[in-house]
Formats: sequence, C-alpha cells, structure tokens
Amino acid sequence: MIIRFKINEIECEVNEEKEEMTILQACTANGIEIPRFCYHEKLTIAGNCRMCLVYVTNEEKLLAACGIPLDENFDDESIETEIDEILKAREGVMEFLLINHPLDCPICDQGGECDLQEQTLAYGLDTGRFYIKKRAVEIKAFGRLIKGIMTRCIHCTRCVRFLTEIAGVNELGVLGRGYNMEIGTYKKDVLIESELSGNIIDLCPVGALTSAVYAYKGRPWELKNVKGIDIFDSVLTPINYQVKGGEIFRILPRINDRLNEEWITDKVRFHYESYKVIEKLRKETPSYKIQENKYMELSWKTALKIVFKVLLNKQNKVDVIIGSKINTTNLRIYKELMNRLGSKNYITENGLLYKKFNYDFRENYLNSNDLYTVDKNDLVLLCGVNLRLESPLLNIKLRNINFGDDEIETVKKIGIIGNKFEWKDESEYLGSTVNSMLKLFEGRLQYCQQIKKSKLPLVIIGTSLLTRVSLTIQEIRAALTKVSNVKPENVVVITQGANFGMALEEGVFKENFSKGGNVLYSIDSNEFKISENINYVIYQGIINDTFENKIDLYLPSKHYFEDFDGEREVYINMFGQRSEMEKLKISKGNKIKENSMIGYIQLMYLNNKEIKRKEKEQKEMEIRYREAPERKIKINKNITINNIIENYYMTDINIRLSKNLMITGQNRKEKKIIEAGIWKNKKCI
Amino acid sequence: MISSLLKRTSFLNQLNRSSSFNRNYFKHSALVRSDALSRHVETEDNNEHTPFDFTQENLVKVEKILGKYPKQYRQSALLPLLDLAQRQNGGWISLRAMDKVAHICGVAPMTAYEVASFYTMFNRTKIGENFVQVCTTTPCMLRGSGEIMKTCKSHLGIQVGETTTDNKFTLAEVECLGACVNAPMMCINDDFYEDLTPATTITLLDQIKNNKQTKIGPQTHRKAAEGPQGKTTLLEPPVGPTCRDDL
Amino acid sequence: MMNLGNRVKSAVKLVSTGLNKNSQPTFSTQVQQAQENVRSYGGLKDKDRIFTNLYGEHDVFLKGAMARGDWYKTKNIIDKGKDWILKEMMASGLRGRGGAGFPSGLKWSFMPKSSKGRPQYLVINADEGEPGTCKDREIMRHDPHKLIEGCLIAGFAMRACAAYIYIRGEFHYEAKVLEQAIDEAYKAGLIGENACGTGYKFDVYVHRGAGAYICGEETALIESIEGKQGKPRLKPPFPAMAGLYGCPTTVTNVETVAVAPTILRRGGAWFAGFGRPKNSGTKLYCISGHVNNPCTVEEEMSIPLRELIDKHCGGVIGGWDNLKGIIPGGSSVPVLPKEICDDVLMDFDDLRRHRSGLGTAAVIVMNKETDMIAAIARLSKFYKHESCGQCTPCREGTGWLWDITERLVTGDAKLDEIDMLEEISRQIEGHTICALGDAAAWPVQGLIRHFRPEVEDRIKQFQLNKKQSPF
Repeated sequence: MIIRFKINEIECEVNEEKEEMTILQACTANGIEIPRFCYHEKLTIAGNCRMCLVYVTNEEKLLAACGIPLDENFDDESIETEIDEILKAREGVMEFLLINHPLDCPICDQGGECDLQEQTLAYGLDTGRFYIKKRAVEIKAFGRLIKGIMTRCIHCTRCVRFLTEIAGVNELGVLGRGYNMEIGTYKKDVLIESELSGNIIDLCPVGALTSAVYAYKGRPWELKNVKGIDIFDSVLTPINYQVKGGEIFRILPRINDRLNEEWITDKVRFHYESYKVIEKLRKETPSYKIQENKYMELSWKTALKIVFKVLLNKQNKVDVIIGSKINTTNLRIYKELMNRLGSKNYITENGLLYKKFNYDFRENYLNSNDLYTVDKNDLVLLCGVNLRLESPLLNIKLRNINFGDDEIETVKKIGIIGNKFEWKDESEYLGSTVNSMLKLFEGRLQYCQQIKKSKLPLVIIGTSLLTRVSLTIQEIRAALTKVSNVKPENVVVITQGANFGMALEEGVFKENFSKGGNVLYSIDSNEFKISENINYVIYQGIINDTFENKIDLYLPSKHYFEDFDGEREVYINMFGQRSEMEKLKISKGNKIKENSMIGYIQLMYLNNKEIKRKEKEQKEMEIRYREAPERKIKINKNITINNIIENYYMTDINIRLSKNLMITGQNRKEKKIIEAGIWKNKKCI
Repeated sequence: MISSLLKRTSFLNQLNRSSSFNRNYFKHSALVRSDALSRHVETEDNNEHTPFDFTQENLVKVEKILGKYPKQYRQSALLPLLDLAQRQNGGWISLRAMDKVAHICGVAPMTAYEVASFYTMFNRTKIGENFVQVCTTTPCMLRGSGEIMKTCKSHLGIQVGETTTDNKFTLAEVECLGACVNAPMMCINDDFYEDLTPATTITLLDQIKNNKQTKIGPQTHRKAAEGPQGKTTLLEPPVGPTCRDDL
Repeated sequence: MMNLGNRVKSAVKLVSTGLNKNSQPTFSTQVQQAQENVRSYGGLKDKDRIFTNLYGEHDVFLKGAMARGDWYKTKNIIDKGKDWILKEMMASGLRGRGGAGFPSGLKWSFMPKSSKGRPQYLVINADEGEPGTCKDREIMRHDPHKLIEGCLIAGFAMRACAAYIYIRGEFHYEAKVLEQAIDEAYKAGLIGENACGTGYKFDVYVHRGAGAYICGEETALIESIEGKQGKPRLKPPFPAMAGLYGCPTTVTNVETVAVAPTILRRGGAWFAGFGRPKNSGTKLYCISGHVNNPCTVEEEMSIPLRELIDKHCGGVIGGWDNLKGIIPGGSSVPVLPKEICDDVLMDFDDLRRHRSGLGTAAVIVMNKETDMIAAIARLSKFYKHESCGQCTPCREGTGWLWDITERLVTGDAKLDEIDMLEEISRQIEGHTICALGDAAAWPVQGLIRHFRPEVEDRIKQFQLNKKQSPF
C-alpha cells in the first residue's frame, strides 16, 4: 500500500511493498539532511548516537529517524526536522559528545574529513562549558595496519558491527558499561585477523581508528583522486589512488554496488608503500649480467639484439610466461610476436595447465553469476576453493545465503570439499581428495540428497580443483547438471590472476604448454619457481625477487597503471564486468619503456607489418552454455586438493615489499590459522 | 609582595586536594575498581594457560540449564553458566572459563567477554573467600550505612576494593541490593545480613572469620519486613479459600 | 462495605436537616454534603488483603499456599476463557505495578490473537533494582505460589506457551525458594503438560540475572534473557510484536501478575472498589528512611501519605514537623517537600499532579537531619554506575550530572551552575533510548525545584570559607 506523509511540508509517498524505508532514508531521498553518526547503509541499525532525532506529530518524545520504519501507522503523519525543539536536541547531543572528546584536532589524522568536526560546525554550540576532568582510555594495539587511539572513540559501534556482521571475525567488542565503556579486544596484543580489517578505518567517523601507514603524512584537502583497479585478485574492484605530486599517499575504495559495495581488501589498501621502495631498488636501464651481482648497462638496441639472438636460435626452447597484470593490448602484441617468431609456448602466470581445455567458448572462463543474487540460493557447495583467501569480497556475499528460518534444521547448508575449514554450525565437510569430487558427480555422496532437496543450489569451484583434475569446466557443469538440480549458470569458477579472462579472450592460451625449455622469457611475472633445465633468463618488468640472481638480461618496463596510451584503460574481471582506471605516472627514469613499445619495436625489427591498435568496446559478455563433447578421461583419485594460496599476504611482489603488510603476513603465518571460514551471525532487530 | 608569595606557596600545596574546576594543573584519570576494568589483567593464576573445566556434577547441571531454553538459542545459557563457573572457581571467573562457557553455548569468546564485563556480579579478578558487599545507596545511607562502611574498613584493616592479607575478606561498595526496609545491610557471598549496627557488624565479621555459624537476615529481633516496633497489618489469621459464586 | 456505611450516614443527615423553602439543599448543607461525600481512603481490612503471608509467618510452600486460598478453582477460571479473563482484568482497573502504571488489561490484550507459527512468551520482571523498593522480594520468598498461579492464568490469557521469571542475581535465597515452589507445582501437575487438568501446556522457568539495574527495563530484560548485554532496544518494534527470540512477548511486574488470580476469584469490581477511580486496587508500599517503623505493608491506593506514615510506620523520627522531604515512588521520581506531603494522596494521578509520580511506591522519608544534596548526589552516582552506555546523552550526561552534584555537596561550585545543571538534565530527558535518562534527570530537577535555597546557601557558605583562586 502507498503511504503518504509530509516531511517539512513536502508531500512524499512510499510504496510499502516495493521497498521498506525508514524515515532517515526517506529524508535523504528527498534531499533533506539529517545528521547521524552510528547509521550506515550497509550495517544493521543501532540507534545509539541520538543525533538523528525528528519530530512526528502526536508523539510525546522525539524519535530516532534511523530506526522508525514507514508502515501503516505512518499514513498522514507529518514529520518536522527543523523546529526549535530539534535544533536544541541536536545541540545537546553534540555537547555531550564533545565533553569527553580530547582536543586532538591538530594531531588527528581524521581532521578535514571528520564527521564530528562537520556536524559540530553545522549543528553544535559555539562555546563549551565543561571544565572538569575528561576520561582517558589507553591506546589499543590492533596490529601494524590500524592505529587505535580509543580516547577519541564516540562509541558509535560501527566497527564492531562491521567486524561481526560483514567480516565475520568477533575480535572487537563493546566491553564494560556506562562511563567506563570501551571498545576493544579484551586481551592484550590481539590482532584483528581479517582480510577486510582496513575498512573500519573508513567507517570510523572520528579519528579513533586510523591508518597506521598513512599516519601524519597528509591532509585530505591536498590529495587528488586518480581512478585505479585492485589487481591482486580476479574480482578487480575499483579503487581511488589519492595522489599528491606524483606520489601515492593512500588508497580508498570506489563504490560499486554489484562488486564490492564499499569495501576493499587489506592487500590493496596498504600496498602503496612498495612503490617508493621499488623506485630505489630497481634498475632503470637494460642490463646484462657479466658475473654474479655485476650487471652491465646496455642501450635498447643492443639489448633487443641479444633478445632476438636467443629467441631465434633453433637450439633453444623458450618458455614465455606473461604476468597477471598485463592489459589486453599488450597481450595481443605479445601473442602476435610469439606467433611470428614461430613459438607456440606461452602462457599467463597463473598457469592452469589443462591438457584439453576448450577456451573457444566463453562460458569456460567467464561466469555469468556474480553472486549478487545469492540470497535466492539456499545451498552452497565449495569445491577446492578457499574464498576467504582467494577473494574476500565474494566471501562476504555468501553470508546472504538464505539459511532458512529459525527452525532446527539438520540440513547443513554449506558443503566443503578440499582443505578442511568450517563455517561454524552450518557446514559439512565432505572430503579432501578428488575421490569425493567424483563421488559427487556420480551421486554417491550422502550430501547429494540434500542437494536434490534444495531449490536453487550453488556450486563454487576453484583453481586448486581444476589443476588436479583433468576435466574441463564444461564437463564439470554437465556432470553436475545430470546428477542433481544444479543449473549450469549456478556453477561459478573462481580464477586467479587479473587478466585471466582477458588473456583467454585474446587467445593467449595454447593447448600444450610444455615446460622443459632452457630459456625463460618472463614478462613482469614473479610468482613461480624456475625449473632446473633453465639456463638463460630474460626478465622484462619492474622488479623481481624470486629469481634475482639468475636474470641474464633485464629490460625495464612500466607499472601496469602507466602502461597504456591515452587516459583510460579497461580491464575485464572474471564475471565479464569492466573496470576502468586512469593513468598515474610514477616511473621517473627516461629509459624505462612501456611493454607495448618494447613489443612494437620487436615486431618492427622483425620487419613485419605494424599492427594497428584497436580499441574494442567491451560490453558485458554474453554467455551461452553448450554441451560438452564426449571424450575419455583418466583421473587420479587420490590427489588431495590443497589450497592454492598458502599465505594471503605473500602473493605479489608489491605486497612483499610493503613493510607493514609483510610483517602482518608473517604474524599470521606463525599463528597458523586452522579455521579459514567465518562465523555466522544472525541479524537482530 | 612576600606575603602574597607566601600565600601562593601555601595555596599550591593544597592544589592536589581541592577539586575546584578552575585548578586543572595536574591531570590524572580516576581510579577504577576491578569490576570496571575493560581489559584482561594477566596474572599468574589467570592467563591464557590456566586450565578450566566443569566437574562431573556440574556438567549435569549444565545440561539442565541448557534444557530451559529453545535449542537454537543456546546463547541464553551464558549468564547461568558463567555463574556456575564462578561458583566452581571460588568466586571469580578466569579467562579460560569464559572461553569454555562460550564454546558450550556456541558463540565466539568475545561475546562471553562482553557479557562478563557488563554485569557487576561477575568478578574477573581473584577475590577473597568472603565477598563483603555493603550497600550505600540513599535509603541505606539515610539509616547510617556510612558508619557500617567505616566499621568494616577499620575492623578488617583494608580499603574498598582490597583483600585482607589472609585472603578471607574482600570489601566492596555496591548499589541498592533490594532490602531497603531493613537498612542498613550488607551481603556476604550469597547471604543478606540486614538491620546492622556497628556492634553487630563487628560480631558478624568475627563469627565469619572464626568459621562459626551466623544468623542470616535481620540481626535484630525482626524476622522479615514487618516493622521493628511490630506488625500493624495482618493481625488476623489468613482467610481460607474463597471464591465468587459464578465460578 | 465501608462505602455503603458512609453513604447511608450521609443520606440520613441530608434527609433530617438542611432543606430550604423550595425543598432544595441550602448552601451550608451543600457544603456539608460535599464534605461528607468525600470518601476517605486507607484503613484496608485484613480480609481484603491479598498477600496474607507477607511476613512469612505461615508455611511458604504448596500446602500452606493452598490453605490460604491459592490454586483454588484455577481450572474453572481457565475454563471461562481468555476473553472473560481479559474483560475482568480491564474491569478491575489494575495498573502496572512496575513503575509505569499502564493499564494491565489493555496491555495484555495487545498480544496477537493468532500465532503465525511463532510461540508467545510471558516474561516476569522480578529485577527489583530501584533504590527503595523491596516488595517483590517478599512475594517471591513468602508467597511464591501466587506468582506461579498468576503466571499460568496470565499466560493462558495471552496465549503464551512459557513464562520466564527474571530474578536479579543478588536474590539468591528468593530464587531457591521460587525454584522449589515451581518443582512442587510441576509434581502436583499444576503446571507443565496438562496444567491443572485443563489440557493447556505451560512451563515456568527461572532465569537469574547478574547485577545490572538497567535489566529492569523491558527490552533490556529481553536482551538479558537472550544472553547478551542488557542494553535496551529501539522501540518500535514493540515487544508485543517482536520480543524474546523475535516472538511476541509481554513483560510484566511480579506484583501485577501475583494479584491477578485473587482478582479473578473475588471479582474485578471488588478490586475496583478500592482507591479512587482510575487508580484502583491495593498496593504494597515499602517505607524506608527516617521513620520509626520501616516496613512493607499492603494498603489501599489513594491513601493519604501522612496517614500511611503515621498509621503503619510510627511516624517520622522526631515528629511530622521534623520532616524535610519524601521521595514517594523510588529514586526515579522527584522529591516532594513537606508542604506537599501534608495532603497528597498515594496514587498515580494525584502525584503526577504535583509533578512527581507513584513509580513502585517505595517511600523514602527524609527528616531535617538529612543532607538533601548528599542524598540526591548519591542517587546521581547510582544512575551513573548503572547506565548501560549505549546512547550518548545518558552515558556522558549522567557522569556530568554526578560530577556537578558531588561538588554541590560541599558547595564547591558557582551560582549559575545550578541553572546549568537543570539545563543539562533537560538535555538528557526525552532524548534517550530508554527511560533511565529520564530517571536520572528527575531527582535533580526535583532538588532544584523545591530545595534551591539550600543549594544556594551551601555555595555561599563554601565561598565564604575558602579563599578564592587568584587565577
């Protein structure tokens, strides 16, 4: 039914069945500003700051606008937000907030973007009358990434609600009562062990939780925004670099409702420290190794001549590995180059070595289901994937699964195959070897009956399964559809590597990649071990720490966010969605070239036609599902499916060179997390 | 000039004692009792490694407690189970005890810490054998609870919040205990001792110290909430079962 | 019965005297009539008292309870049906005895009539933390079967499947007695599977609290039973829609539920016969402080305060003229000075007219030896200690109030801080989630309204004695 009411003499109406709104949301939708501290759109309603009080006709008390739903009782009511009583109430609450708040504005990092400052200016009194002792709370240690000066805390409990409801770790809590109330971890030296812990820095309205990496470095009005992309996993969440004078000061999220809402992972938030370190450590000219640790500087012409001597030598077998940050233009160029050189042995870094992987069809490497509508699913099967480490932002979405009403259900809603971890009370562990996967396909597992009972099950498959089973994704989909009521679009494949989908679009993926060559040509790729046959290494990239001393020829190139012509570049994630980024110039040497330039020069050297660069309009991919062709499969049953990521904080060189992230990673490793799942929490009214 | 200087120095001596709001030279935060601490204090008896587990007979009680609440809401059993753990442990809860209770109820340990630090009856640091809680709220204050407090302090030789050296008594000042008609009163462990005078307080504390039996309830001739000068109502014996006619 | 006697007497007088020539009452007779038509309250007879074992002289458990009339014809009451029970409760005019004074019959009728698969609960609030109140303690340790029978009847009327009795943690002995009484009732088949042979399933459980006054508030109590910190919830949604475990719940005080069976047995009209209209029935009063005979008594509503103290408590220590002020309803209501106490009646409406309230009827009497400011300062300290800390005005404001009132005890303040104190209490009142903010603000407002000269004198005295700061 439609409810009509007035806000400040403006007539509004709300359709109750379509959307449930509170007064605060209705006011914001109509452009009326109501101050608040504890309300946040993505968290449950707390209603404890009392700043959002409004006046509704015929009510004795002022009501908190964030918690009053607009339902039938509200028909024909009139809401006032600017009368004297409310202005006085706001001044009163503001005064109470400030009496115990320390006078830290000059040294507080939140100055300039602080909710308390802005609302005091707009709604508070101009003088204070509190001249007695303020309470003080000791500084709490939350790790190397977050600084917690808890005297400044105004107890809005946004951080506690985020960590329990969304991130799923119950590390922070509200302890004590009344005047002595504190927010903290009860024991000393407890680190917040979540991959999304940096988001509480954004959420805290005052300077109680601030970034320890960004401490005392800059003020928000000096910084400029440059768009960027989170390149460390295959979800590609959009971010903002905050830049001043060619230096990155911090990284903030951009809002995208489908992918990440407002959250970004810790890795991308704090990794920018590595760029300064890289500038000092890297070489800026092409270099050739003479002896151990002694490199000779060359000109580009000489260096490229050496490259071709090696590549065109018929006795050499060349392995080409293309890094995960390379964009589509470069992928196309290098594929063309390798084809012209007559070599067919190239692969992207996150080497999924399928023998017969049919990448001609898009459904084999892109997903149509981006877990946005996961609240319609009521069963999830996780096969060979640890979502918490591989993609924490998708892990959050799993909490929206329709777990059923409050009856005692013996059906466990989450089945896990692979490395053992638990979702407390809701998960059932099905096995750790490929054998369990096969049993599932044949329908021999007991859990299959529960899959049949559920209405819309969801299956999530990860690369740790795919590398150990020589089945294509098409065949897995077909097998699951035959056995139970899983539809092909509800089988989601989580891949690694930012450019995995783009590479397969371009065809940088051959059926046979045989390692065993003696020359390695690595294009900005660090994350693998060199096999013993290799005796010559060419590295084209920024910096390398895994095979440092073995590099025979080094060609410097630029970072991924300055590696393109023009102002903008587009990346496609594993769901087929595009993310845009802008150019950010960091590299300063003038001998450093873009990857594309190096590729073009090589192609021109080969006296071939120049490839015209096409900028393709990339829309959301259309995905149709085809039947899998018949073939004979041999599978080894007893391989255990282990996690593909062992330590979340060691997956990329940019993270290994950021001091704070590296120490956090070492601390986590020593504690040996056994439970990689997250707690379930019920939403309270 | 010199006299004004002298005045100033003597004034400075009184700085720390006076609390007028204009004289904020030396700042320190207020002393806080152990039940108001919001963090864990590591001691030898109470750290991450001191073990705790329920005894066999307590495990039976645990099952009984869990049976009172619906099966999917085991968190409701947090308060009774923390109380049971406190009784087993000698009047205080250790860190491992809170973890164990949280595990039984199926919640995260942080929830148990939150609940235990919110309520005043959960002691998270060690206390003596007898926990003496004197009520000093206004109804008791009007009947002389200040004197009782002074007597306790002087007789036991400790200040509020401290424990005697032989670990027999811990003294605490609490809010209204719900026996205002029998003021002034105090509560030792679970028993209420009401209608106190300084003399009876001393007798009582000595009796407890020597492990003799004590009289629980009003320490005067009163039995319950009738007045000390005698009942003014219910002078007739109670009427038997009566009912109206149309039932 | 007393009603009738007075009316007959006045009728006789009217007939014998005072008609004028036009056979209409003269003015003087009208005045006489008015004076004689005024009914006096107080003087409740023992046979009209509900709690006959208030002082614990007789057997507490089932045998004694049945001898005193509990559990008599309970089956017949239940067989009459839910609507009949609710109608009788509304006719009796019983108002909530927990402090708010909301009409009970109306409150019990808010529960949903048809369940949508969710069970409904009755929760009994036995968390008696208000300073001055000790009445529920007597009911629970001396007359528990009234409470249990009341739970059954009230639960049946509300379609509840179970009752949870929340006892404060300090009442260890009372909880033991209550648990023993419940076990007896289960064994005798009075509650449980087939309660009293009516076929209705009803369970009663005892849940002990752990020392928090804020858990006396209804939504905080529900949170505490659910095993969380006792912090009040936002209302709406009200507990009758979503309460304990998300199911419809009603939270009532012990006394309200314990008087229900007797009302139903003797009739709602009988109960409505006591007290003034809209303030009907009997009440347990706890009188403490500077009286000669502090005690708990059951008396009629609308009894004059002076009569209550003189008749049952032996008068104020030092005589009625030695009185300074009285807090009539527990620490949450403003204090009344002697002038008002001379003729105020103890009921909801009359006290509200004098800008106080009945609350829990815990009378705290203070004579001229009291330091009124120290008494109110101690109450401010109580509220600061017991505030849950969830919403900003209460958490910060009660601390600030305590600090100022502490300094007013010695007089170490400025004169305009008194107005500042009142303004701060107005800023807290009405802007909080629950009523503890109001309860913290009202005593301070009462102090300033009635005892302002004393506060000003204290300040001036201090400023004469101490030297001023040169800064």
